[in-house]
Amino acid sequence: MTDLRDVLDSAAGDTASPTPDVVADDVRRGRRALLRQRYARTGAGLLLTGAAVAAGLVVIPQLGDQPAQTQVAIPGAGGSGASAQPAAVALVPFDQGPTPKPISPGLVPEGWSVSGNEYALVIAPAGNTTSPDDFQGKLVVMLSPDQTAAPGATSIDVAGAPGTVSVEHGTQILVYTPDGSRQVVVQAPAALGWDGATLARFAAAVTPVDLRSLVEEVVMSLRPLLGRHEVVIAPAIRLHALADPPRLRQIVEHLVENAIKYAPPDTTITIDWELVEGVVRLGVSDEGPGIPEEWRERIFEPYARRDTHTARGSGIGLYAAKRLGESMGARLWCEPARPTGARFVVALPAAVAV
Amino acid sequence: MDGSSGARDEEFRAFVVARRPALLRLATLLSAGDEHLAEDLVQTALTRLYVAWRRVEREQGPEAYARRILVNAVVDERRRAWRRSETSRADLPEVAAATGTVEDRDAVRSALAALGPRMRAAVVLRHWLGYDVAECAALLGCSEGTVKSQTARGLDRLRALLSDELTPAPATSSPRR
Repeated sequence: MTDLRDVLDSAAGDTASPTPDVVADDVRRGRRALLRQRYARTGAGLLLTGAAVAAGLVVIPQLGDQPAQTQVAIPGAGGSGASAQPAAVALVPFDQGPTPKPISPGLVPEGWSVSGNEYALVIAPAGNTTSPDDFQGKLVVMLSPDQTAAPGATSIDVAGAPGTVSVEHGTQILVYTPDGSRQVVVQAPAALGWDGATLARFAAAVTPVDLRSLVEEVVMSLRPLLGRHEVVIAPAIRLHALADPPRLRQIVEHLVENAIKYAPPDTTITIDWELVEGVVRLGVSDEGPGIPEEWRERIFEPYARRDTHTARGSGIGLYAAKRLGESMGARLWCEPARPTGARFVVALPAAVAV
Repeated sequence: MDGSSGARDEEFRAFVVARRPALLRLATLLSAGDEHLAEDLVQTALTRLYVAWRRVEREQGPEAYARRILVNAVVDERRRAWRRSETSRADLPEVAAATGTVEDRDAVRSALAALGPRMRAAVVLRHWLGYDVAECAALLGCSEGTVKSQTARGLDRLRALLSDELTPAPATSSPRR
């Protein structure tokens, strides 16, 4: 006679403790999901996200568990870390203040300085800070994997992977570089003790990208958003495309998120790719209502949204995806999916076909 | 990120270090020994847990929340996209199972795979985690009568598959985690 509990206990496997890497990965996934949820939940955030991508740079405060009371002093244009007499500007939490206006393309926002390709936001303490503790904490920047802190940005902690954010009582500022290709999140603690945070802007770094690895990574990161949608990665063939990995990752994220928004629950989102005359065509297909022919180009315009009952979001995602694609020489279009639905295709130069 | 993300990170990290192995073991049983799927389920559960950390802490507690996600993922057909890759093992293992060896463990996992997901979850919750009938019913979203019938049939099935006289643990015994 065997005790069932012992039998099950044996079948459950070992009890080894997780390695530090496994724990760190769990934390990282959680942070990313939390950020995504907040973006999705905050209507103003969505609008601003779209505005930021469309317009270039935007600086917005983010709500937190404890609303920011910070006064951020922003000097005028100049080199990063400039110490000009600050003009205090109050950052107001999302849910309490007016919605900041989008910033026009080409216009350098107030508080930002431009030097070459560097875009710098200078943050300085407002008011008197008397306690040394006020200067402690971390200013953490979420950067794309290939980004680094600019020289002199000594207060930026980029040791962790993207998604590393650890600030108490923080005021969050979302920053997008003008081409919408980089998403950077800076958190400054309530008591600001640093003289600057400089964000470097990088040109697209096009390299061979293993599509399967990249797509699987994106799908994994979006799992919390999937709900009742299933994502199927279709092809068995392994292809490498020439692309800037962070930008391509964002494009695929936009397309999958778009499919989640518009395709009904319990349907499948299919990601596939093929090689056509030296060009890799990466497709994201859904089983939604599809897109009428007259809309297949217009949907890539900023704020263009069809008036459907399922329409949500800022209306900027596809525009951002197209801009991202163009920034690295890719094309993006929409076509009908078979048998129903919409199919978005990203065409990229092939690097290696196996 | 919120203003207390640092505290959230530390608390969550401590939870993962302490309880991830137990959650992985539960997921392994619920997925009938598919370790890859179990890892996938645990990652998903922990991701959702991180997002809901503050609320979960106030309400049911992180481990109960994570368990609920794991069980829901297994028993709710609509959320089980991964089940397409689950191999049906309706063929009965012919090896009598004791405990302790890899072969025995595989036989038990094969036997679990022959149960339906809800029945498997009922057996695991009731006879491995030590949940009472009411707790099982609440977690599985069914009646207590259904829990009783599912666990009874599940035990019968396991006995037949494992060619052994399995003895359910007393309801008062401490749960395995």
